[in-house]
Amino acid sequence: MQDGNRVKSPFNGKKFTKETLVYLLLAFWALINLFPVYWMFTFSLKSNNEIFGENVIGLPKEWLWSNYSKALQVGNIGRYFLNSVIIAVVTIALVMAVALMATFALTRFMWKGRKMMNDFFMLGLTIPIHASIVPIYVTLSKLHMLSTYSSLIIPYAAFSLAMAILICTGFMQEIPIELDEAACIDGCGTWRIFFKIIVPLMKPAVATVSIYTFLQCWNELMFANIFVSDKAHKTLPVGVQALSGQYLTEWGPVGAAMVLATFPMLVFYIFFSKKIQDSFIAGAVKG
Amino acid sequence: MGNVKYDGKYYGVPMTMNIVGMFCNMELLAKAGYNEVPATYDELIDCCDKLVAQGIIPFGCSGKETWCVTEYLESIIEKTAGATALNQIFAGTASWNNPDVAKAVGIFQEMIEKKYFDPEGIALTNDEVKANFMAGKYAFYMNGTWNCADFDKAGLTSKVKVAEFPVIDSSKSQLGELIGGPSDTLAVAAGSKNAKVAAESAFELAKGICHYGYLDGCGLPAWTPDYDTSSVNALTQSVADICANASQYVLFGDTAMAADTAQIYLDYVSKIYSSTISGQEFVDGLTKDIK
Amino acid sequence: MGFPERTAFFKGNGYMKKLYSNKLTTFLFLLPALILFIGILVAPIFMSGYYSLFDWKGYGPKTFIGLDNYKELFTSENIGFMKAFGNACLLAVLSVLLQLPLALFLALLLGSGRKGERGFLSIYFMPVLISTVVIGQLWLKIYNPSYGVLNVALRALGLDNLTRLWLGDEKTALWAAFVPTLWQYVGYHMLLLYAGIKSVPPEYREAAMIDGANESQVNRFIVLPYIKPILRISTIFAVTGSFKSFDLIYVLTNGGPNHSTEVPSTLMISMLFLRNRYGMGSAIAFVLILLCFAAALIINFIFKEREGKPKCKTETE
Repeated sequence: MQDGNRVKSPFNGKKFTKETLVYLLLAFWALINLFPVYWMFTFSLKSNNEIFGENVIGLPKEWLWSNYSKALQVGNIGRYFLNSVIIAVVTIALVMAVALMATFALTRFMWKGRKMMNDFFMLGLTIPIHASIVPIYVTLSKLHMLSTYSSLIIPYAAFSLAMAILICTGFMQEIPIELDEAACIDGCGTWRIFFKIIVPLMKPAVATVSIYTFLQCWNELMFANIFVSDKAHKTLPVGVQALSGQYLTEWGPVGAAMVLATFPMLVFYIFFSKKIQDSFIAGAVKG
Repeated sequence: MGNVKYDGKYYGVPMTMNIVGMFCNMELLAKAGYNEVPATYDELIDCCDKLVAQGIIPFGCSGKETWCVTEYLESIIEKTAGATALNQIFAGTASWNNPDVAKAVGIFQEMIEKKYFDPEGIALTNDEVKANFMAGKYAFYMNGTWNCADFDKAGLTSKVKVAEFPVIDSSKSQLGELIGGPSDTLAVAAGSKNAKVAAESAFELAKGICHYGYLDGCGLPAWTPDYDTSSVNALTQSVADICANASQYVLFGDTAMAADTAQIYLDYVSKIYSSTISGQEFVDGLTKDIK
Repeated sequence: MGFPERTAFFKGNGYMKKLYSNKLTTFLFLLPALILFIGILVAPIFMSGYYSLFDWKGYGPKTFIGLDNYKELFTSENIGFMKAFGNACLLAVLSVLLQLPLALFLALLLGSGRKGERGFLSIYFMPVLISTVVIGQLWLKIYNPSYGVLNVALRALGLDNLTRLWLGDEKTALWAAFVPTLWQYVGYHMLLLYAGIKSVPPEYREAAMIDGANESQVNRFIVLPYIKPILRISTIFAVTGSFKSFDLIYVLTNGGPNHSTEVPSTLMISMLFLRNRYGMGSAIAFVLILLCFAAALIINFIFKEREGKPKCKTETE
């Protein structure tokens, strides 16, 4: 349903007022969603005097970019940003590799228990992340792996796996089996079919899974807070939280850190909103 | 050094010591007609009443960080029930079921009721409260003496004085009974190889850290200083004077207790501050829950 | 999409059948996923169950105490689990009664084909993408008693007596902490429901309109039954999400003041890392897992009871 005008209330006389009301409602809710972001952006550029009285919600009178340099230097936000990127990228790569292989076995191979194995993986969709916190923490500390990138990458990958397999299954089932047959006739083995035929055709799935996984790791707080305690490996959410503790009475730099943590995502969202929304829909609706 | 002893052996070397001090904004006190820190409890109450009448908030205390409430509560309990009694309770050798503790809690809650405390404090963190005190919003701020350095750096030395909380029940307590003591310690594992060497170097290191911490105003020396102390800020020096007259220390309750017990204790303290329980309920609850 | 039987595909190609029946290759392809999945998701559940039977500080010896942790969990007032559980249930109820209806309402408004629907949709979904820490910090500042927008606005309107400590007052803290929690995910549920509404075949809608149905009748008799499977999923997410909620509460109040906003997961964290009670923390984790599974099963059951036959193409197992 592309055109917006097709379905309208048949009560033509009332149409104007009713539609106006609907749009007022929609605009009101949009305002509630936009205001915090607007406010965050403006106070990230203000001094305490402006935030605390002179100019609570207006645009900054004096644009205080020094808040940003404070967030980067004192708050170490640049480093945390990099850490978050590294962790997200490695997690995505790991999840993709593991999920593609597992999905290949689940959709192409003939073996008893295929469906059961699939159900087993799908259980992962309902297991809360909390379930594993104590055992993972204890294990990581025994292995002296706390405060490393892997202490977050491995759990993040494991918890994104079920969704990745779910999404990949949908896409892989749509790749015609005739392609495998043709490759077979050419003398390819399973591994070559996998790498030459299947993986290149899974690009849309890679995009969907990557977006989903990225958002999961980018925003995760509980594991990041507990498994990593040294400055060199902390992630962005933990860094923002720590900075707010440090700058309780000066809001500007905290706002700056929050903007730095949020805006790259929002810019990306502006360009790829459909794709990002689809990855959430794919995840939920098929589950 | 009693609190770093375990099974009769020393396992840690104390580095710094801090006590709870009552920081007073003398400019605000002057408005209530006090040019000196109120020396007795009655004077303190009188001073607070006058401050409140002038629209000045006497005390600021963070309710979001319960340890800040203990800075007040433990001082009041100590000056009501006596340091010996409080030490025994914290050590678990005496019961919480002590009428003086209940009475002290009542005194604290009465102070809250009489609007001596900033009502917003309950929603603030310690840093926010401290910033409010430094901005001149409160007349008094009770907290650890590690704050001396920050107050000095902010140029408040001229208008801020530090004192100990006055005695409430002079039949049980006296001046010189303080909350605090050596706290941060370097620990040496007794089983470690070269434990003796490690212990000795930790000892030297601790003395060193303590030395510089004192000179920077971050704490008092746990060791008798054998170096020039004239560069130490005036606030820290007056803390040192208070400590010189100390007769007995009670270690911060949540530091003295095991982690689990400490949280139960802090939970009850937090309920005191929001006045959801009375002094008697505080005493009964702790008697029941702390074993 | 289901799970079609593959055998049909292998007619007439013996070589490929042989390739795709190789047990070793199958196993090798599955192995990494199995290691990750069993090691990080499955084994820890059992380990949590095991740890929960002990009195353990996280270091030193474990003492076996049977089900004592669970007994204490459900009876002890100073642990306060029942209060935390009650709060989580309240959040779940509010999610189902406020968050979902609001999401559904917005999705219906947008899904019936209005100008600018994609724009609104994208704005409404935005909070889901922002990190909960940022959302939490923002709301902390909105609620700040002295300088927060909320109290400032109330004072500006002359409503000084309505200003509150919000997150600092036991009476208001729970509600104040729930508002951002509920608000952030309205957009998420709305997006799912919107996708469902958009998959309603236009002919159904047109046929109903020709029969003289108005917008609300179309929604009630055509759209709602059609998107029931998605409503089911949204409900499961809303309820289990409430039981699991952690991030926002942790940032906003961390369970305080006086445990009035405690939820099971904040309680678990304080048991583990403030009170060094690993056995008790594990018991809470284990109860949480059971709660989430139970909630999912019950909701599935309720929807199955009411569902005639699945009308949506999405999977309804």
